[in-house]
Amino acid sequence: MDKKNKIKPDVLSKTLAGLVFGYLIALALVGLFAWHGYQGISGEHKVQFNMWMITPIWMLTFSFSYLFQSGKKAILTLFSVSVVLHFILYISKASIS
Amino acid sequence: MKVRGDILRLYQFLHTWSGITTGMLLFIAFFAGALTMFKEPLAHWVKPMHHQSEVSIEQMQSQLDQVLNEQANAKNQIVVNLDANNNHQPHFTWYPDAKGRTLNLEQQAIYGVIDDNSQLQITYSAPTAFSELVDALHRTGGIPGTNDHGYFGVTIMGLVSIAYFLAIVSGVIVLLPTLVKSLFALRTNKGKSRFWLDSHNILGVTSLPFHIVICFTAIVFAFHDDMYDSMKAAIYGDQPMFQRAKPTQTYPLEQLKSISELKDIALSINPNAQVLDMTFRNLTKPNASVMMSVYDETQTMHGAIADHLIVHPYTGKIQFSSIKPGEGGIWKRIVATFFAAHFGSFGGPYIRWIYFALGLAGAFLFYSGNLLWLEKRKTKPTTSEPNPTQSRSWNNLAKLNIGVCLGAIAGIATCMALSKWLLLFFDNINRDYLTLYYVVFMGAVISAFVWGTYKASKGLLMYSGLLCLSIPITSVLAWLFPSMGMVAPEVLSYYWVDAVVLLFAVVFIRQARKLKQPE
Repeated sequence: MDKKNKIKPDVLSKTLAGLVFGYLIALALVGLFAWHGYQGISGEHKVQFNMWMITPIWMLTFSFSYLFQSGKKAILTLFSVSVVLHFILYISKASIS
Repeated sequence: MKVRGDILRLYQFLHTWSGITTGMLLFIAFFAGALTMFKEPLAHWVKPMHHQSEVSIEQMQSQLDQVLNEQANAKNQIVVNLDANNNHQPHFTWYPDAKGRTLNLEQQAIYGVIDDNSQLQITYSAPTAFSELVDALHRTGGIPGTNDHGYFGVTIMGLVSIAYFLAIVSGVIVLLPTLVKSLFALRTNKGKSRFWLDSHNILGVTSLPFHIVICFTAIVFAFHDDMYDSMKAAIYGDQPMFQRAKPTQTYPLEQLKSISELKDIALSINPNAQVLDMTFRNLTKPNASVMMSVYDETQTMHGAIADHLIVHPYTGKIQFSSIKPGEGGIWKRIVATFFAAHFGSFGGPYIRWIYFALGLAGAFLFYSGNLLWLEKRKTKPTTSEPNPTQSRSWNNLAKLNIGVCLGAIAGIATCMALSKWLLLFFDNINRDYLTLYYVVFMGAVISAFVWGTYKASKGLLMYSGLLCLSIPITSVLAWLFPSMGMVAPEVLSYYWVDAVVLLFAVVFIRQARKLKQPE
């Protein structure tokens, strides 16, 4: 394995990226499911289920954010993904309501 | 399975640090959590309310009507106990001033018991909060204080659980390369550190699903309010999240549905269920409700003991049900599964015992993790330096580990051992529990720093062991000398409490005696 491919620890920045953007990604994915998933936005008692789904997505994103090659890459990638997902959520919400 | 070296090293680092920073709080949470599996028997074991006679539902009804007519506060909240097997709880419980679900140490309760002559006997007493205290320790790790979400410690434990999730994932990744080869090899002949590592790995992997579930649910319990807030902002917007039209109508007390009518509503949803109790609330207000605890051990249940069914006590309209999927019930059922998975409220008493064992094993997992850290960083003796001095961080962690872990055990043991004795002299001992626990806990931590790890752990183990031993001895004394007025074991669940505590005593005393002075 050459030195270039080796992942840098960058524990602090990766932790931050995973916690903050991981949460935003989870929130957007749950939002997409809330609006477009089974029974849609007004599904009875679906709110509680949706809330529960944030944590597993958030935690998995967080704990695997250390696999990025560097902290900078983790921040950039996770940030971009969360922006794109929230944008899709925003557009799709507007098209329904 | 092959994992790249750099990934392995990074996750090894994460596992060590997320584990070492949270291990002690998780130890307290798991030890106390294991005990909360038997919260009900523990509560009654400390201070039971006996009634021997079988009471018919008609008798209950006429007494309930009378209490509601005569006692103004009972209309705010009254619990009716319908569990025929549970004859160490009063038939009716209500409060002079109804408060919400927090640990209220000054609270007085009013108990109503129907005696053999069908007369209602009323007593005023403080409900003993020992099992509530253990539950609070479980949820807060013993960190005192409250904030606007409730216990401050719950928020801290939520953050701890996030690190705990990372510890779980990184632990699994670190184990992947050797998973098949050496997982179930408990090497007893390769030195202390190998032995601790092997038992840590076996415990960790075999109880992995349990730890994932506990961790995931604990994070939700700690942060659900914040999550709902952010969902409101990002997802729902103007969409109502919880539709609830505010009720306006009040009803006269005469139109209150009878106990058997309410019971039939529950049985119409699940004919195999058993209604354990009914809690009537706000009977004179528009938001009147009755909550039934509905028990069916073949189901995964939403609450710690049973499912909840909330009905309007005058119209009989169902307001909330976690029992069976109706319209949209699939979501509620799935959520109920998460709750049941945390509380162990499925599959009856067997699962409770398994959760009890898993909780204790979890506590041991964190303890062994800390020991591993210590063993690994210990400066080894060499020929030139047979007694090397350990680094300051090493010394501090070693002492803190002993003080905190054994201190929590010693604190709980002290409260439990003194319960029945203190009740001889005082009616309300709930304040004493908090004082006792924190005095013993802080004393344990201080003694670890003053005496060092060896002397402190030997002393604390012996102390906890002897206190645990005194508990069944107290029960025997109470049984031999009933004139002392102490609570003697009468119901099967009390014998179980004493038996388990006796087992703890044996383990603690044995460990204390086995402990050898380090070279």
